[in-house]
Amino acid sequence: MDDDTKALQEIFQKNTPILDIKRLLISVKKQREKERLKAWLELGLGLCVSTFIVYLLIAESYSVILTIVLLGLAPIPIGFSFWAFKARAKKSSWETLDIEALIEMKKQQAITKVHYWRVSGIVISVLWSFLLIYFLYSLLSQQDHFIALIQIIVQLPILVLVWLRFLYLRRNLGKDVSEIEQIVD
Amino acid sequence: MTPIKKHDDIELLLVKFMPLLARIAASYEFDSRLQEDLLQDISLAVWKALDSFKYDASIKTYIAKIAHNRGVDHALKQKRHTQKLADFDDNTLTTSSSDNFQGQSQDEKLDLMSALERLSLKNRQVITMQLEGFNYAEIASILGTSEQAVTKRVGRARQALAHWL
Repeated sequence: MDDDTKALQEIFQKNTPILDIKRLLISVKKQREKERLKAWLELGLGLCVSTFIVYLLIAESYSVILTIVLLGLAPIPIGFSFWAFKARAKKSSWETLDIEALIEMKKQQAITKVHYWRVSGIVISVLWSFLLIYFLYSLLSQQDHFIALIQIIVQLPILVLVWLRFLYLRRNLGKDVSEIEQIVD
Repeated sequence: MTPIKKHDDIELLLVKFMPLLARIAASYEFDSRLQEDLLQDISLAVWKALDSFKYDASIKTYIAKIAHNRGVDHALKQKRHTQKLADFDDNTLTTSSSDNFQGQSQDEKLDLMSALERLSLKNRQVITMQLEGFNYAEIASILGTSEQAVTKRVGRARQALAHWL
């Protein structure tokens, strides 16, 4: 190593930001615990919702149409939660990529994000359609349909927002990918 | 060897490499408040990744790779944020594709950190890795590029630094 590099190295090391390592470690630990808890909570929540639907299927289903609706609904929450849990775990393996591979992965991630929102839009549309069918069925068969109606109204803005998010991301995909390509060019 | 599992071991490694992580964070973010957030983010990523470290590479290179990855991620987010603000300001220059020779007279000299801030991100990456003591092969491994490309980038970065310092 030449003298210039050694001299620069010395100045560079001397410019290390002042650190409160103890405080930093505490907050990193807290953050890590929070993330783990959040991941398990999401998985647990998905399991609870699916279990509740199975319970309804066994205990409350009094018609063929409701059975079909509940059968269709039951695997969705746990499936979605499990997918999100796995995706979270996979994310930590990306950390060890080299930077070129990371850039490639980021581009792929931008494309996947659009795909994710489209799938979410489809899933939520299916769920919403199930609710609508159930509401119409309850209405026509003169059963209690108030809860289904509330659900339809509450879920509608979510449905619209998810599709708007998808359209926004799809429109900006080209720009996002080019930004990623340019970051280290 | 088995992956590092004990939290105490990971903590010791984090403490040992914290100055390195702080310098890497400082090379991607010049605002001290954001720098702290980035350092926390980097430390968290390193902690998670050390859980699965299998001693198939030097631990310093492994940690630096993770830290630089997070840095790139941060730079990308900042770039998007800056572009959203629309106004062109000095921060845009920190991730620009060429070293900024403008706005400085021949006689005006900069300190090392200000000069590093003026370098393009890809040149800043190689020079800061060199200043951390990594050799060209290690830098190439972190970047996922060839040693030749690293040599070229280091040459360009050193040329720019010589101009400014």
